[in-house]
Amino acid sequence: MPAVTPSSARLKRVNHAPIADEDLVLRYAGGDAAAFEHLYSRHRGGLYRFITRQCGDRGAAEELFQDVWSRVIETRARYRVEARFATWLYTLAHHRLIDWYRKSSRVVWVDFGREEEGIDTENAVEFAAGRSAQPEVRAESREIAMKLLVLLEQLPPQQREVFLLHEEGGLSIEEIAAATVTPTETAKSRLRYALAKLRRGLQDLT
Amino acid sequence: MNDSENAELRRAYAATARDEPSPALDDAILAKSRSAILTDPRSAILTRHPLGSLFGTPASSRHWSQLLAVAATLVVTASLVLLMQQEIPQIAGLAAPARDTAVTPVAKIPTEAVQATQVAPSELSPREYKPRSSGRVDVPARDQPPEQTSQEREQPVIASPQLADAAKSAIPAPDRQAFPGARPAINEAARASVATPAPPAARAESSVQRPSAVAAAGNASGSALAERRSPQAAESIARSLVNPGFAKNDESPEAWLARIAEMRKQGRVKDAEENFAEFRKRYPDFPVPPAKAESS
Repeated sequence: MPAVTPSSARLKRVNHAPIADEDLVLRYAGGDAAAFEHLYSRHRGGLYRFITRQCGDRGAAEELFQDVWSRVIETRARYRVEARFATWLYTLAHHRLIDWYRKSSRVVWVDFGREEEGIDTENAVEFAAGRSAQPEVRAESREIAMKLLVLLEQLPPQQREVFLLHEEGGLSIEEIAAATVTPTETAKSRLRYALAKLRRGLQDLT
Repeated sequence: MNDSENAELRRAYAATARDEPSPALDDAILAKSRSAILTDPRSAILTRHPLGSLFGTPASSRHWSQLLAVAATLVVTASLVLLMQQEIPQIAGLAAPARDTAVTPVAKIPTEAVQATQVAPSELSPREYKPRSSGRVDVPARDQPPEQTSQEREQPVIASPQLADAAKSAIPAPDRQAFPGARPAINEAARASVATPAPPAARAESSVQRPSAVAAAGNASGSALAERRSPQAAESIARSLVNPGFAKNDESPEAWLARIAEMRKQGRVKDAEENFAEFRKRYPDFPVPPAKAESS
């Protein structure tokens, strides 16, 4: 995990390997504020990128990002160690995104349902144009990275979500299925399609 | 093939811009996390308490908190048990003095003790309470002062703290089986409390039978005897009760000496010595034949 910015210097890079995320949550639920800081430092970047690259709006992404962590804070006492914390965190993020999709006037919400293989656009959420024109992405990334991000943006939302949950959240297929409330095979096929499309896109671009 | 291509794809993705939340966003979220702890009563207590970290709910902390709870329960239970064990003897002890201080119960002590000695002769120490082979009447029955009224019996009890002490030892007549040590204590207490022993009747008889002895003792001893008569009457009762081997009320000094000699012939040296010591206390000026004096 990269170091936190200086303004949050207290969130120093610490090897938290001995302390599991689940223990940190339970400690925080017991009143240990420092445990939350450790937990936040571990997952802030991945969750931020997941939300940002899902909704395409930095301002909205920050709001959603803050909402997700607020939800973690408010429901800390109800956390049960039946699933990994990452799964719980990205499940909250997924549901928050769904809520935002439904409320945002820029998005046409279409019910997510089971997908037939190869037909992954029937139940897709369409995003308004402009999401791909993130200036900071094009300015900062290398050519391949930039192309990849472009390709990522062009993925169907379900596939993109699965890809980001896998890459940013580190969730397994089963955990992705649980977070997105979809069957495991559906989550597996979505990830497979996402990876295939990104590879083809990079090959086409090169 | 796909796995390697996927790995390359993932590496390419990892190299993309790593967008991070702004510092202001970080601060806002962290501030909210801390305020949530402060506003939560349960979390606040655990945070401020020195042992609050022990009661945090990580799995390991929960384990320790459970162990502490079990340990605390055991400590409290053990303390209660020990406290009850200490209080039970105290409560039993509260009842015993009530019997000691009461006049009527104490007055009954001699009779009860006498009855106890009569009832359980098998418990008597062979050395101290050996049945008389001479066929004499049991001492306890003889030692009962029928001429004494209940008031007379009571008065010595009240006047004599030594007798009260001996009586306390003799009180638990039914408990003689439980406290066999009381008998030796009675003997020791009786001996210790005796200064000039003599039951009233015995002393009266001896004074009647041996007026010469009293006169021979001189005015000082006679007056001493007279002074000691009342306080020592109760003592003599106690002694006669605890050791039926001592002189009886109607036994003359000569007879007593003869009995002492007989004890020695029978090999009862200890009894003989005790009786002679008692004889000397009662009749300090009684002339003892040299032979008997040496043998005693």
